[in-house]
Amino acid sequence: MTTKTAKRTRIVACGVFKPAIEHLRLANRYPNLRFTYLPPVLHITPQKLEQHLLRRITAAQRKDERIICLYGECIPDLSNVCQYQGVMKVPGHSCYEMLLGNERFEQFIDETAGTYFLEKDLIINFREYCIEPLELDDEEMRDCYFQHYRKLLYVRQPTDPDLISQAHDLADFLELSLSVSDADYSHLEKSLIRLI
Amino acid sequence: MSEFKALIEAVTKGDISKAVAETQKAIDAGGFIQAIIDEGLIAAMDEVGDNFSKGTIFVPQMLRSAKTMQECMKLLEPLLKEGDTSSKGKVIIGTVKGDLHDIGKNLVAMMMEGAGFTVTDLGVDVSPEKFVQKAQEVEPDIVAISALLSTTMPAMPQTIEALQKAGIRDKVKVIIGGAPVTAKYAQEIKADSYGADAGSAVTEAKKLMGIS
Repeated sequence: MTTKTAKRTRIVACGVFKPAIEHLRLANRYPNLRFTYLPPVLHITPQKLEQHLLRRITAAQRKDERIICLYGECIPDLSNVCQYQGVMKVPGHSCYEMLLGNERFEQFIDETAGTYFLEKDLIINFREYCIEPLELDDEEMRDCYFQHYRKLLYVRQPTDPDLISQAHDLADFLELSLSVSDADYSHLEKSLIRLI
Repeated sequence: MSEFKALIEAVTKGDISKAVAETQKAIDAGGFIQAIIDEGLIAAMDEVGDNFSKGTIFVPQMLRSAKTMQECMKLLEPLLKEGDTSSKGKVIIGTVKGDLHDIGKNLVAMMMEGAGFTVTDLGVDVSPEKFVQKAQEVEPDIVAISALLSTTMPAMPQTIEALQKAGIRDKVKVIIGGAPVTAKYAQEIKADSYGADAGSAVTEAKKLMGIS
C-alpha cells in the first residue's frame, strides 16, 4: 500500500494509542507516516496538555506535514481548535469511544449512564493519575467523586498485558462492579486510514 | 488585619474542627453574625476561589474548604434573624440530562452559597423540563447549568431553548460551566455568562447581578 501523496503525514497522538498504532503496523503500511506521542499523564493538567499538543502541531506545520490529531475531546473545544489549525481530528469524544466504536460506546452509556471507563494506562497508573491528585485514599473524597458511578468498564485491547486482577482491585477500592469489553482496533483502524 | 484571621486560615486549610471552634469563639464574643459570615467565611472562600483560579490549590482542597464553610454555617444559620441578611440573589443549579458528574457543580453551589446567594441544587441528570419547572417555581435570578462531558453539552442549548419556550428566558440570566465548556460555546448557545471554574463562576454570577 502506498500513500496518496508524497507529503509526509504526522499523527500526533496520546500515548495510550501507541500500542494500537504499533499493533496495526501503520508505519510499515504507510512509509510517509510519522508519529508523535504525548504522555497520557498530561491529562491531569489540561492546560499543559493543550500547550504540548499545540506545540507539536506547530512543529509539524513548520515541516509542512499533514497532521492527524488522535485525541478525544480531552481539552475544551479541541475539534474546533483542530479545524482552525487545519488539522484533521480522528472523530470521537474519548479514547474509549475511539477504541470501542461510537455505536458500542453509546450502548454502554445508554445501559448504565454511571459507567466509569478504564484502559490499560489508567489501570496501571491509577494511583498517579487519580488516587493521589484527587486524594481518593480519603473515603469522603472517594464518595464525592464516585457516588454516582455504578460500574467500571475495562476496555481491554489486544496488546494489553493481563490486568484483570488490577482492574478487580480498583473495582473493590471504588466499590463498583467490574465489566470487561474487548476492543479489537477495527474501528480505530478505519478512522485512521480514512484520514491517512 | 482581619479579626477573623484564624477563622479564615482554618477555612482555607479545610480544618473543620478549628474553623468550627473559631466560629463558636466569634459567636461567644458577641460578634455580629453577618460580620462573621462576610468578613470570615466569605472572605475565606474568596481566597480559596482565587487560589483555585491561580492553580495553587486543587479540587480536593477546595472541596474541603467548602465543606468547612458549610459546617461553620450550621452554627450561624440558626442565629440569623429574618432580615439580618439579604440574599445576593437566587440561583438554581444542576448538571444537564445524561450527565452524572457533580463535583464542579457542587463546588459552584457551595461557593455561591458562601458568597451569599440562595442556591437551589437540582442535582445531576437534570432534564430541560425540570430546569424550567424549577425556574417557574423558584423564580431565580440565575440558572446555572453544568456539563462535564462533551457528549452531554448539547443539553445546554436544549435547556436554554426550553427556558425560551416557557417564556422565562428573559427573566433569568443563564451561566454555564464544566470541563469541556468554553466562553465561545457560551456565546454560541446564547448563555449570558461562562464560569471557567468555581471561583470565577461566583465572580460572573456577581457581575450578572450587578454586585461585583
